[in-house]
Amino acid sequence: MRIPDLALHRPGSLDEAFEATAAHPDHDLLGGGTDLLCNYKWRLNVRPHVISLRHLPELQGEAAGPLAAGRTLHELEHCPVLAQLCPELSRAAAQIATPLIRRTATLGGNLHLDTRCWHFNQTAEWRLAHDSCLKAEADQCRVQPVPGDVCVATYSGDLAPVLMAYGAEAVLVGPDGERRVPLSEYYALDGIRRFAERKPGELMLRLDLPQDAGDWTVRYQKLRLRETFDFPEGGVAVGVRWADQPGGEIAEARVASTAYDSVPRVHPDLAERLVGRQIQEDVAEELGASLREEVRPMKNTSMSPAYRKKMARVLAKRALLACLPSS
Amino acid sequence: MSFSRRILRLHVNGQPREVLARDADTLLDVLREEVELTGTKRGCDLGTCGCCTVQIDGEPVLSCLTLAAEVEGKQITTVEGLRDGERFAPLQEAWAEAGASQCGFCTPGFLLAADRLLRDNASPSRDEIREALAGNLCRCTGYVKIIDAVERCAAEHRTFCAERGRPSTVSEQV
Amino acid sequence: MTRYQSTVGSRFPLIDSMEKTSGQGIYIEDMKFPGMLYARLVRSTETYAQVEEVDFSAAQEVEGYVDSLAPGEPGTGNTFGVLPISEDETPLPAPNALYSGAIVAAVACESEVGAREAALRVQMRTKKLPAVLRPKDALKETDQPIHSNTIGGTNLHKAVDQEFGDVDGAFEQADVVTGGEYVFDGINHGFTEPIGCIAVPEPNGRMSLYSATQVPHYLHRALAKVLEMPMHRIRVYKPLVGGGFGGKSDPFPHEMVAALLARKTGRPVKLIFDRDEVFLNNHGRHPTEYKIRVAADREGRLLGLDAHSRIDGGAWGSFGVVTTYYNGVLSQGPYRLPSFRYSGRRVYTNKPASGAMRGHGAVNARYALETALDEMAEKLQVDPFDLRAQNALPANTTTLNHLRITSTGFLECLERVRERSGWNEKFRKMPYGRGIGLGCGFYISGSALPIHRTRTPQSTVHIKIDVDGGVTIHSLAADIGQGSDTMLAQCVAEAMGVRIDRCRVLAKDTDTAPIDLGSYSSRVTFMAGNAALRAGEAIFRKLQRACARLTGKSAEGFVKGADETYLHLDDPGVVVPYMDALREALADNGALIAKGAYIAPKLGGAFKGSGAGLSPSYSYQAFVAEVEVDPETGFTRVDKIWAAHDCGKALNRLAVEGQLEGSVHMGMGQALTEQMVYLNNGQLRNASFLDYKIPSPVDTPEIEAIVVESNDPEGPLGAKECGEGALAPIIPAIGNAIYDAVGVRLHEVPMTPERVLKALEQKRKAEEKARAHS
Repeated sequence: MRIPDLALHRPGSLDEAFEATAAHPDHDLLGGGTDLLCNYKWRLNVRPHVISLRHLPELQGEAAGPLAAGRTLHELEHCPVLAQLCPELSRAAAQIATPLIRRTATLGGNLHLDTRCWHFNQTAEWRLAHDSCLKAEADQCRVQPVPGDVCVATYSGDLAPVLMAYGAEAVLVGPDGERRVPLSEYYALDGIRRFAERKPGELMLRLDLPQDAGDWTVRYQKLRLRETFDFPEGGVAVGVRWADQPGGEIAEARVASTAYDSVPRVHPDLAERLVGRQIQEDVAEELGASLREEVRPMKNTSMSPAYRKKMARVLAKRALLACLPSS
Repeated sequence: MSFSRRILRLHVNGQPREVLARDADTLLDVLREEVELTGTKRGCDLGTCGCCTVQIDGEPVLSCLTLAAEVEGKQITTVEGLRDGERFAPLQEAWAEAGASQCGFCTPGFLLAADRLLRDNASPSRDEIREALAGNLCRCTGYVKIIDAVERCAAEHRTFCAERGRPSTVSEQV
Repeated sequence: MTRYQSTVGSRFPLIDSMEKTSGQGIYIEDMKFPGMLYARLVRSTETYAQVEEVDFSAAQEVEGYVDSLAPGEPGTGNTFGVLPISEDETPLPAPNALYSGAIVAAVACESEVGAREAALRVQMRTKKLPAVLRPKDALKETDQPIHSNTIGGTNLHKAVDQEFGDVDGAFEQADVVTGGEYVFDGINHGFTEPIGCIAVPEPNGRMSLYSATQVPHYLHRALAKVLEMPMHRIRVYKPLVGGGFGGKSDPFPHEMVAALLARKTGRPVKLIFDRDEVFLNNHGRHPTEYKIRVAADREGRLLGLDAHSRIDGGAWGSFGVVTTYYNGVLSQGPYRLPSFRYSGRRVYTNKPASGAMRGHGAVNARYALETALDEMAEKLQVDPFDLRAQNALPANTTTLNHLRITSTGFLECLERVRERSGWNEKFRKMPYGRGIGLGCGFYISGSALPIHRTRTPQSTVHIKIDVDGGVTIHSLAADIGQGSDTMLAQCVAEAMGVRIDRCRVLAKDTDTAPIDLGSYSSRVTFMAGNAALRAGEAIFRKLQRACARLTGKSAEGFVKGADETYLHLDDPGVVVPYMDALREALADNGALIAKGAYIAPKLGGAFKGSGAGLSPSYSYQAFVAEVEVDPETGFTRVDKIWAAHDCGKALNRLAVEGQLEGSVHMGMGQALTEQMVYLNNGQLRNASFLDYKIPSPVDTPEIEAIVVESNDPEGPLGAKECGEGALAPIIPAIGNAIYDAVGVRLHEVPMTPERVLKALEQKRKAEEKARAHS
């Protein structure tokens, strides 16, 4: 396949990057490119300008810090600092796509992964025959029985729920300086707009974990047919902070899901219900049953929505049980 | 409509190469069509088969999902660069002897991924080999003989690479 | 004196393996010709429509646009197809585009980038026709059948009805009857090299077509028909082929389109598919509905088999007539059946065509039969191994439908796989969630009946040897990665008593090669191998005579000695090196040439369809899979597979194991993860390697290939097939293992987690209901 013509820009500093984004408003940002270039090959929303983030020292390299947006998934997987700070992030990174993709795909790219849908992720010729995707060329979304004007494509990143369970904040940088947004508030429930909190020209610089991140136990469970290649068809991260003894009473909890909606999302009510309790089979079952009711998978990925919903229960239950020190 | 191209300076298998390419061309496009090294194969063009795997600065990546213009100035190794002149790399010999190639179309990609593993690990377990090759598809062998090949030449290949100045590069540390 | 050390049974690399590991091997996309154009196909956006007009005006604005090909142009409506009995394909619609994604037109440009851009700008005007997507709808009468050759005003393409013995009587007197209904999704070959070709118009008016094909000869014939040129004006050349598995075993429309465009432009035209186009071309395993009943008496003797299949052929005939037969006929073994009834129906639908895929026709039927036998064993309370052994077809017998059975290693397959897998310690003895299952099979070793009615041998091999001493072998057997070139070299080397590396195989060019029907129906080792042996033996006789002239000894007394020499049986002191013998043979004579040919023996009965399933020999399999099933998610993890296969004789043990392991892996994909999924409008939903899920290295368990040798009396050096039969048994082995693990039988394949979970839920509900009633 050949990607349609475009102009590649390779800023070497943040200032150059801001200049490029301002000069070429019709652009895409290129992290690893392992998702974007697939879309471009299928002529999905190709933009005339692509601004590479791979040459910004602030985003990658030793000085940029362990959770810089430009770090590759491979680096996250093998980083000794993260192994101490947030080991489940490394484990989740190690389960993404394939080892080859992880060599180039980045943390920032994964968090900004485009939403997916079987009406969207198809060749240009396929879409000509179908004309059914709001996110591509059509004027209505036909995923649901009643056509709609909101895109319900599915977000399938693995790192977002794990970072949310650790309580991460996104550090954004723009011409006016840096600001922080809790990752759990970063996304918008819309498969096209996708981000509530990103202003034009802003870049994600890095993720910051709260001071107490080391006190949290986080476990992530994902659903997919093959143990490699496949995007999650459902993913649940559960984080707990113990009141005193590991495995004892839960002082604070977080629950986040991915691959069920157009965004990764936290489930604060479910997390709240875990506080003050100990992890037991019945508590885990209860969490699973509740999450199952909260997720609304669409008929747009390879497994059926009914099955993915059922599996939300299993994933949540297993993630919580896996927080126990013995497991 | 017309298409504009510009000069790219690449380093392929130790040689500087100047080629004409569009910004939108992938490394796979450029290696095959402009550099005219066709050992790197196009199986799916979407990162889902691993046939196009090459190494950039020693690390295995998918050339179909890498813009050529992004790797100017980096060292690119293709299957043609694994051998040392007349001498094939032990991994290439082992691949043949173990029966790891049938149709051979996935072979170059597997070799580049396996080469990276062996530069780090002189005695990988069969499961470690599977993990390292988890981004490569083979439709002929059921992977059995591929894993055999990697297993049987591990130490020898590592030595060969070290002698050629292609040691393991640990880039993971922060 | 030291005799020639045979290589038969040893392990050695394929002769082209360094081409592949070096990256120097040339596949179709690696080829270029001066002045070459790049073609891109325009595909139908309608499920079924008459193409009224194609408009290239916007495409012509693209830089480097050169030419186009549209329906109605000369040659584009000429029919072709792999089977002369259903030549229903045309290069372009004539005038109907038969499925969403079918080829409608083509453009040729100076660059690939341009061709892609131009093709997307092509506009077409079409008239929609009522599409038929479900096989049951295809059996209804219609005014607009997809093809003119259908039966009874419907879209029924082929009907097969066969009955042998007293089937109804068998089921009446049976003590136990098992069986059920099964649904199988369509499967794609998934070879890693996309399909492609380059057509080169030669200055002398000939046409050369370089193509990734398994069947150069059939392609040659089809091109002659479509181009309306005599065969001798056409050359087909096969470079290295990156896997086929049946998916490159038809002549295809795009090959015709490339040739027509090359003729029209007078320039070479390259046409390489994207991966999604490979799926749209398909010709893969038919989506199948299968019903089966098996009858036995209380002693476990099989009394009868009653089967019915309905297979979805998609848009074209392809090998479908054969597939329709094979779905029944190939269930005649490896068991003795006193009665047998089969009806098969193949229909056309507006979807990508189904065709031949590894294990052609036998795979889905095999799942049904082996599942029914597993149920039978349980009802009879006998071990599944014992039930199968008790009913095994003996050697040197004939089945009800006149299949001639010669060698069989089936019992040895059963014994060895039972022992290696630790069956007796595991079956019905492992904890809930863990299971072990058996599946068996048998398969043709080459179709005895040629596709075209002709007295030309099915395989001919030529040998040429000149002063350099190298042995050049010409054949048209297509090496697609299975190693047929290596097999030919080995057979010739064995016959002549020389080293394999002295042989070079040119099996790729219709200009130089004698006819071989190509790589399908597991025929190459048996047929081309025998031809190669005969050619090699003819050369050996010439060398014997040369030795006699040199030594004054009797020609027939010379035998093959070690290190490429010839020894005389009567006088151990007489040793003639190969090169000396060759020089003598060449003197006053010139290059040594010889040929060998193979024609299958006349076989079979006198009834309609008696040719289907006839083979000079059959392979046998017994496979065991051990699995873990997660009852909460329905996920099945295969822990280990043991695969015993009777290949007659392993000419090259490494290559045989490779074929078995690869077959097992591909079958495992069909068993658990692979399926072609269509939307309600007939669009293929998952035409990518991300969405069509081939098992990866981490999803594939260790596979223990167990080679069983029955030394076939007619096989080359005793060999039979090993490349296809080994696919089918793994699917029921996994299904039966799932039953052993969690007690459910899957009636839909692939056995996805979702389907396993659904079966478990149904079982639970049924048990609750039963408890409530008791």
